[in-house]
Amino acid sequence: MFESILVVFVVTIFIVIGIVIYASLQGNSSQRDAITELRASRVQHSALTMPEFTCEACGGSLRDNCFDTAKLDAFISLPSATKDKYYSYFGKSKLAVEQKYPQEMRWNLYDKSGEGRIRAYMPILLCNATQNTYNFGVLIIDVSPQ
Amino acid sequence: MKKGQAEAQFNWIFALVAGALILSLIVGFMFRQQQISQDKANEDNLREFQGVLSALKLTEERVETIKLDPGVSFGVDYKSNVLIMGKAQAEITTDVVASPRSLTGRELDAWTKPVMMPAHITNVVFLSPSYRHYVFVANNVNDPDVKEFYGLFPDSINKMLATAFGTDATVQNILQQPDAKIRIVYINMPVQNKAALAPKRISEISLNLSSGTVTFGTKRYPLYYNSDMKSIMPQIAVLVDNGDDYNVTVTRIFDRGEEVYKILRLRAAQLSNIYQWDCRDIFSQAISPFTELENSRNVAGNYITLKSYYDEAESAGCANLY
Repeated sequence: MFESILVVFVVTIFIVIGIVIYASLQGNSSQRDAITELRASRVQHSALTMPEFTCEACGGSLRDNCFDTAKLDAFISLPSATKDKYYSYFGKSKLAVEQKYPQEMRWNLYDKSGEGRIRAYMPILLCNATQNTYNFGVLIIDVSPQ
Repeated sequence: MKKGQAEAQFNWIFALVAGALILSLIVGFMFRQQQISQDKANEDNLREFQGVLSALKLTEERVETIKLDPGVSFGVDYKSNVLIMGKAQAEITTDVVASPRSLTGRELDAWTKPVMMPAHITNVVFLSPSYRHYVFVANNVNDPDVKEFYGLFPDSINKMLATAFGTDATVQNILQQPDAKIRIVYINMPVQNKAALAPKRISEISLNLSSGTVTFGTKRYPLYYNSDMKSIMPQIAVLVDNGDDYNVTVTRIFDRGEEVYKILRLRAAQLSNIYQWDCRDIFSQAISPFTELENSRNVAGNYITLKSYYDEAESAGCANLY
């Protein structure tokens, strides 16, 4: 009788320990996702306000959420050692800009991504400085957990 | 002693040792859990603060008050560019922050300024605890340069302008507030060593606006002070604790400038190939000052050159140069 009670007691303790460990791992994983989402939003903010991309030089009144295509061309021509300096702003992530209209184009700006990404999209304007025209595009950010 | 008695005593000793061991394990576990939850709370606070700084950086010329929960205090490590709270650390994701090393108290005054050299390089976020007072000392407080410099700081911070003659009374008045700390800023005059009155509560620097230098203790640093950039570097000097922090912050701004000018130089080269006639000439001429700005801190000379090219490009109907 005493042995049976002891076995039930020990098994119950194992089950409780198992549930606690499972719950804490689940909690950690959802917290990690929340942190990665927060980081994705910060990377997006950084990219949208960086003078390396923004439309200040286009001269028009449209400046918010706007990238200068000549600056994007300049940025992708940078050697990878120079792009490494941007790790402090973008960390483990991937940044690309896709022009959707009038014709499709793509600029792969930065790629230091790892596994398990969270993807964020942001519609943006793309300014062509020489023609003083604005096209439509999207900023795509893939952020991996740090 | 009989065998049964010895066994009973041994059982007691065994029970005591086992009990103490289990108790110490439980207590150790509790302390560890407490430490883990404290570290987690610190990390959460840091992340929240990091978010506030990132949001502030998006604005220009904005003044805000950040309320801190009791017991929450942050440290700024300029060399590693990180915020610290307890054992937790978080990178300063905004480019440039200028503040004392310790950010404590109930409120922080925060304001932002754009760095234009002459292109927009970044926004600097200035942070000052509300217990910090700024006393600007000048021989002539009606001097337009002194007034203009004093006006650069937002009215929400504890600031006042005093003559050299009236400094003692002003400082003694502030020192009556128990938690107050004072940064005395001597404009165009040497430090007068008022810190001897309360060494842990008073710090002093001297700004020479005409020669463009700032003195922290015995060390002197350039202010990069010219008519267009005057609002940034001297403000950083007033906010940070020492010359090393000033130097690191200024270097970070120039590093940002180098990155931005690299892109503007490549853009100018690219546009000079696309354009014809006047615009091509203007953009190809601008490559040289951009290159110089990438490689040196000769801001003043290239500033004027680039501004003139900017105006030429604008009047010729080309795209903006920066």
